[in-house]
Amino acid sequence: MISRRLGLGAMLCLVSCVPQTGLGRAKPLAPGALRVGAALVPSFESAMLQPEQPVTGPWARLLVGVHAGVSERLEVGGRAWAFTLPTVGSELGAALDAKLALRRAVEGDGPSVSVALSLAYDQPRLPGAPWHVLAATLPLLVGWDLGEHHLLVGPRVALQGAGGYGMEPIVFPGFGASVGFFGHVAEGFDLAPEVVLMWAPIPFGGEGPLASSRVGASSLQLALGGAWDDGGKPGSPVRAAPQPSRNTVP
Amino acid sequence: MRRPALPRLALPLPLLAAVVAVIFSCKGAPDEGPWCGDAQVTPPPVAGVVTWHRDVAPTVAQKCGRCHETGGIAPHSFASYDEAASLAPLLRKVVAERSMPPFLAASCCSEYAHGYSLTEAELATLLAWTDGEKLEGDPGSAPPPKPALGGLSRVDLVAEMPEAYTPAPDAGSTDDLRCFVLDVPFERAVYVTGLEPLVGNRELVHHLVVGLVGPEQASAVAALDAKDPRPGFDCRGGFGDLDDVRVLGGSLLGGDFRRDLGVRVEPGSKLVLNLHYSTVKTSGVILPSSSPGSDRTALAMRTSDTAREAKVMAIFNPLWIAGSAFEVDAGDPDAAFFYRFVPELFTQGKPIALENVTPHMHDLGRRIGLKVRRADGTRSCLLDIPRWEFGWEQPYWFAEPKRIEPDDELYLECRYDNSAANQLGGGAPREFVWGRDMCAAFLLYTELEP
Repeated sequence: MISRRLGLGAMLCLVSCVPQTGLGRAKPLAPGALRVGAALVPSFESAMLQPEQPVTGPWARLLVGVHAGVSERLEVGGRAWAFTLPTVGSELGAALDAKLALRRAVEGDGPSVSVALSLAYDQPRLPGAPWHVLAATLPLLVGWDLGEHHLLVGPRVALQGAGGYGMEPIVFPGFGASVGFFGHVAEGFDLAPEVVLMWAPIPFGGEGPLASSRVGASSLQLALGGAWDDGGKPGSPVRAAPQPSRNTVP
Repeated sequence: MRRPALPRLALPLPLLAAVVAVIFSCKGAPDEGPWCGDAQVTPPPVAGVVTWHRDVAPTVAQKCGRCHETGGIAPHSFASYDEAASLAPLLRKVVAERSMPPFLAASCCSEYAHGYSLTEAELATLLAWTDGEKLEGDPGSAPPPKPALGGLSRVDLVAEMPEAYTPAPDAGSTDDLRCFVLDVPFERAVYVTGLEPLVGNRELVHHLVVGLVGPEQASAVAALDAKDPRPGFDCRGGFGDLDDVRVLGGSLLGGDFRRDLGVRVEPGSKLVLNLHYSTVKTSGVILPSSSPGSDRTALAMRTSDTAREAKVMAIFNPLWIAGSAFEVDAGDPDAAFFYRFVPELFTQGKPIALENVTPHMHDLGRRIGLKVRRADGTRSCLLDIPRWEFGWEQPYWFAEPKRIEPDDELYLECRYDNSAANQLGGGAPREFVWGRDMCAAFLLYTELEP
């Protein structure tokens, strides 16, 4: 029964949202700087298959990513994720990310603000034919430097399409937000826990008056990982970040 | 020194375009056919004189008599020569078109146990009698009765809906899917080794699925029941978010499980009767939604202290339930949905023996089939119903269990006729999604040692 519940989670991760974590700080990397990250991303998926009775299931992914600074305002990179449980299901995906700074904060003058665009391909599968998912996500990343740490908030919208063998394709929007914290624990290394909640207004089983109450799939994703930068090259976020003053460290 | 050139966004764009194309074209094509049920079979010639008592009655009694008896659930009785002779044109029509007896599986696909479809020889004999002089013959010439098919060999328990229910389809709909909780008064664990629905109102009940809820979920299902002010609770999507619901069966025509099989029931368990009420009669007449009548169905069961434990899995693409994934255009005469599935999610990688398959569609279904695709690429037909009949959903027991290896793949295909010619009750066809019709197969199986 546990395996079926996990299988349900694997299926639901298709209709909720692809991994949303790992986009990094709101302040783009300095030109030429490189950041590599990895995380375990357990998630809790839910879909309103019944009125007032969400069907739920857990899932998880292993996520790796690399981002690089292109200019003072632009950062690009990619992420990839995978997970498999024998006899239950698997997931494999990748995303291309671009982050454009709208506001790059300097010491003590408020948050950094960036808009990011992520294009992802995801292939979840129960044993058998896989499904294919394409998602475009547009997060607005707002981040505050807390000394060498960084607090990140990321409201976002997404557009997701899914298809598979023997079914018609479905397209649906998604909405959500993230909260993350980059804790600078060593030279060139951040611990980066992040939580994301996404919701998509997907109708399930769609006819009759009760159809309106069988709408919605959600995904609660928790990233437990870290990020390594390139060890203090000039312009990297660690070296470039303003040194904390006694007044700004909480 | 600057780092090497970073990936340019322009480079992956063709790849992204390809991925988009994959998603919107990945429905693919159904597995290659044709299914064997497409083949036309000519009944063999019948030699000599055909009489009712000697040649026809034994077959009619065995394969029609369970329903077509005086007071039976069918509207006509063929129990006597006079009744059968007066209805000979109707009898000829339904057997010739293979809509009766309602055993829908093509015999060319697989061999089934106790199938009550007519053999080619039986059909030829029946047609010769109805097309000829319809001779009665000598009652003394009747051979010994053929063995009875189906039904329970004994009834150990009858569980009944707590109260009668009047279906209330949504406006514009003719369907009401309702779950009812039935107590199972066992004080120790037993095996259910056979079940047969005792349908209260055959005009309303299209089909039913019997679920078994373990004692740890009994309070949850009771709460669902209590929350809904009307009898039972809405369960259009199945059994709701209940863990450990096992499907015991899904048919209007029940009987003993084969080969000493049983489903273990712990004390404190609940039965959930998932009833699909339809106000569309099999004749096509739509009952008035304001007063369609009521139903109080019961379930007769045979039980045993020991049995070979059987399990049930449901095969369907879980994504069909989402959005437009199962969308059929109005007027489409042949919409196809299909699914490939390796059942290791249920079997944990063990080989299994398939004991029976219960296909499931609604009234717009036209055809359903199930194959196993072996790892070496060969295919075996498990079930082919070339002409689906609304109202005759039932389990098809294999004459011998079908061994499924861990890496074998099951293939399910359903086809729908949403043209004006296939609208029960008339009316213009309209676009529909999952719920208006469905595509699934319930498989009863036992686990084998690797």
